[in-house]
Amino acid sequence: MTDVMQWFRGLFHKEKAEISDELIRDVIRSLQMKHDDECDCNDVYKIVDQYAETQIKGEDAAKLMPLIKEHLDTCNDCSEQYQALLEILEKSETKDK
Amino acid sequence: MSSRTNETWLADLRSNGENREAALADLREVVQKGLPYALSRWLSPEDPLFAPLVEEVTQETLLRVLDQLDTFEGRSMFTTWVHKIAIRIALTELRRKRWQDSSLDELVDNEENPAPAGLMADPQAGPETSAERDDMLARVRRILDEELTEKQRQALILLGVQDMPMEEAARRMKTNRNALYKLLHDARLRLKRRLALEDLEAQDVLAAFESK
Repeated sequence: MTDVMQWFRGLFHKEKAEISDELIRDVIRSLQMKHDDECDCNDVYKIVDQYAETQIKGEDAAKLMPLIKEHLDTCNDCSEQYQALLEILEKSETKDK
Repeated sequence: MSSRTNETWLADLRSNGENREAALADLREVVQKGLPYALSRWLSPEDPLFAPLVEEVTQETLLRVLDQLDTFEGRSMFTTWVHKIAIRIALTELRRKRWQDSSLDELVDNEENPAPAGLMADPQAGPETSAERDDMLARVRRILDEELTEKQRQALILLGVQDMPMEEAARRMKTNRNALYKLLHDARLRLKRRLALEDLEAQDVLAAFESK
């Protein structure tokens, strides 16, 4: 049995594990996505360099690639990747000037 | 350092001899210059682990770039693509180091758990406002109970533990990050449809949570 299953069993033997109020709020917030089509992490990883460059050029990347934007809004891991890439591009650009 | 076009980068890295060596040296410099900007988001440059991590990630990045050269589609500058790979390697390594030795029990015990009632409570709210918020919370909890699969519930709770990264949650659930994302996406679709059936919009629910 995986450690995750054991951990959950430990919680469940008394009562069902609760999703916290804060998490509920985050989940509901994430429902405000406009598109039901999905763009998964692999899709985003393939294109995040293009997305970041679009943003750096001053174009509205979110408008041009809304599915990517929505994924970034709901996926912390991919969002971290994107923010870090943006940081490198911005700082490198500033340094080169 | 010369500025190469995408085509020149690819040609030089695919060649043998001097051109390839020069390109690799330049690429190393590109990665080593850019990576600290990103890395310092998660690790202090003063940390003794910082420099070795930059070196380790740079090495790994160069290897992976050479290995995946044929997958470069030219959607961006070559150097941007390379930075992307470097960040991915760095993040995976940092997350692995951060979470590998933590048992779930330790993580949960170290959390301020459960979230205090005051987190969404407004100290100036009267009893009738709290009742509205409580009612909505209870209603949403019921919906979550009825709509989510057990795996989806587990995933949500796990991700709520000290903001565990998806990569780590996926590892603990013996799956991969992409599959976990799809699981959660399906959960969001189910919840969206269920809210619609109950004549609720996400913003109405959020408004009730924050009502005064």
